[in-house]
Amino acid sequence: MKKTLTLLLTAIICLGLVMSASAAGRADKESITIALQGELTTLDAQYPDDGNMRPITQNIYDTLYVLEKETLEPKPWLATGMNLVDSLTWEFKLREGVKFHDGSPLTVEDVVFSINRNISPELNSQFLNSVDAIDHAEAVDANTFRIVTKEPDPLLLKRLTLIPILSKAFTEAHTANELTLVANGTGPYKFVEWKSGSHVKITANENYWGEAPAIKNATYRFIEEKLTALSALQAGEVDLAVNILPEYVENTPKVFTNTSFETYWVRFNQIPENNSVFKNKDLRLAANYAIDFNTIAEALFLGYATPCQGQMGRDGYVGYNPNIIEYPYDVEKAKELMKAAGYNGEEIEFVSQRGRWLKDGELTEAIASYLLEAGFNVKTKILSWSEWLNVLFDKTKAPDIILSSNSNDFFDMDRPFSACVLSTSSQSAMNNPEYDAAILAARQELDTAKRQAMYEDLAAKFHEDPFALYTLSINDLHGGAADLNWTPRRDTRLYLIEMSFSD
Amino acid sequence: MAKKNTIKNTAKKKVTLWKRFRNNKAALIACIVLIVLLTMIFAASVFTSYNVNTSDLRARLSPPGTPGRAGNSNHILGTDQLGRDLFARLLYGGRASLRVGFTVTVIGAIIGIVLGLSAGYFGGWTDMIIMRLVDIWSSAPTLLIAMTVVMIMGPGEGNLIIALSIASWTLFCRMARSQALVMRNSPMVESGHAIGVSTPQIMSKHVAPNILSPLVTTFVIETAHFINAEANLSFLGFGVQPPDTSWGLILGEGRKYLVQAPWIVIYPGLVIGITVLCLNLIGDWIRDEFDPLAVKH
Repeated sequence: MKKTLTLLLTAIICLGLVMSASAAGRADKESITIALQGELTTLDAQYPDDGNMRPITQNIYDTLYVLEKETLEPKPWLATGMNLVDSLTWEFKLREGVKFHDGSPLTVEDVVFSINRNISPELNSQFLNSVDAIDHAEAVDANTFRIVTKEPDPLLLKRLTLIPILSKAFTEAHTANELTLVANGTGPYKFVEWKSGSHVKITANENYWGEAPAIKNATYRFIEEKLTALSALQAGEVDLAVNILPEYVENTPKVFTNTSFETYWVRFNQIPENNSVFKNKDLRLAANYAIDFNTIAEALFLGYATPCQGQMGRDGYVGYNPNIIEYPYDVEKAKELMKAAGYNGEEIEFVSQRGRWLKDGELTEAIASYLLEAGFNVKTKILSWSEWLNVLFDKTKAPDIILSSNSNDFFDMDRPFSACVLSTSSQSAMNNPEYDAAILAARQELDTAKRQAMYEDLAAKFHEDPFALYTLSINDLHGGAADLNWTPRRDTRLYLIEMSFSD
Repeated sequence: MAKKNTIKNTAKKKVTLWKRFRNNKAALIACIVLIVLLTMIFAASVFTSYNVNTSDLRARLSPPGTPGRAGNSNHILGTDQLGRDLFARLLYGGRASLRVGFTVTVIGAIIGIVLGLSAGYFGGWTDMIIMRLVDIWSSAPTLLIAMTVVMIMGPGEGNLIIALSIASWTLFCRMARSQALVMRNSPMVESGHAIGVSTPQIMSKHVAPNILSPLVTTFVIETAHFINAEANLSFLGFGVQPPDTSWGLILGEGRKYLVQAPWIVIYPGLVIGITVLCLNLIGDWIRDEFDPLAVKH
């Protein structure tokens, strides 16, 4: 009896081993499961600024332009050519023979409708500020259309990489509520189903105008707990887990990483009416000298972050100034500057939040710790996300310093300057007419070389007279199955068409 | 003569009480452990030279026993995700955890006892209204109410205390009421009334002291309960916020690093567990000791 039992047990264990061994060779090379950090809020791709929706809808919808993977230059996608009519009017040709997933052909009407819908105040898109430089779009003939901008806009083509092209008839046939649950694009994948709380499935579009993808089916699962996502990856339940922690790298079968466009910055309150010590330039410089950004990047982010080189961008951005070097970590110099500025231990309120971005809470505490060490009397205050937003956007409540993150998906220095410095921006906590004028002039300069020079000049000024602790930009870090072939893009888009499994 | 006798009696009673306590090994050990723990927490600076908020990023996630930098003592329990000494953080974090647990229970006890005594003593409509309120109140889960309150008012230690206090009075209210019901009809209260003692005086001087022991038991066990609740909420991010720290917060912040640095989670978990267990054992002992219905002795 006992013997039989032992035999039976051995058999079961052997069977288990055999089965796990056979799992090593992938049976289905056409299906992928991806773990996202949370559930998407809607499928209406023009509305939200939703990092859990974009990885899905970017595969369902095409845009007129896409960023070239290496150079980050806009390249024609659904548009095939461009012609500048005057400094405000751009004329485009539309790709022919493209069909929506429901079989209807893509027309100029759809494009005009999509652009006008995305910039409309009625839709009130959460990324409206990235596209509202567009005044309107209009049809010219069967495959020509025009886009008119409010001011001369050198960033127009990059803005078009954000606008998903929808079907006019399909969109108009559905109510706003229905549109949150359905999708009909021209992209390489068709929407299949969205099981709330569980997953979204998409499948390859057999009528796609471009190259057919290697992966035919994709399932997106929502796993909020990072450790759970890692376990799912190790168990082979998912093939790609997005945004893992740097600490997980050694437990991850294959690591996918690239630089991205999120930059942490700590805003100084320079509003003249407010009572902030950081109205003093020397103290702003002192704070930048007081923090060892290199150690933070290497030890806290394990190297998956790059310290800002004394400016709010990194190489490859339009307007990045390669001649500026980072502020050295020099506590003595910081103390000298503080003494010269007459800093007398006045309390400094440091507002932050935690849980939204990679290691935001830990970064806050690390920065506070460095500032305290240099002699700044920092009091950290962690707020909930909504309270934090309130404080960030309300100039009367502006704290002395506040941690925030700037995402520069245009890879262009206009983004940080317009968002963080320009006095009319809701996030800015300063008012300097000279800087405002320079930023606005550069923003409307259509000559690339001139713009580059203007931004380099501004970056140099902001190095002498910092508006923030230029902290660090974090890298994209994903964990994947050992046989997944993929190179992450600098624009962080998760195009399935660029992925495959090796044999 | 009579006086002498009383003294002798009390002394004798004290001896047997101590004897019984000594014989209850579990309660004795729990008491000793708790006293040691409290001493370490309140005299933290004697036991560790580390500052609770000084981070050393180069030494983050060091395992227990790692030598400290330049003349500092060893990190006996390792370091956390910012390279801070975990032992120091547990000691200083304990202050917040105990403060929240204790304050919440005190507030709950005051509100609950006042309302419960009134309900039990006056009866009738007062009783009806207060007890239905208790029923409604205790039908909603404590943590859920607390989370909602914190979400509205914003996270932080002060708001956490308010949020938990809102939920902490109902048990005291029930206890106080049932005891007051018994006392109301006792000959002592009746004779008090007969000789014209005022109602507040009867309640505070005669009823309250006589119902103290079950309330003390409740108090001790509820303190343990709310230390747990603080840990839960801070773990979830609704409680104490950095740069302050508490056991639950250390756990919550460390759970992402469970695989690489299990000590960040194990030690605060252990300390919470030990504290709660000790309080419960002591609470049990008090109940057994003072409950006349307990047949132990």
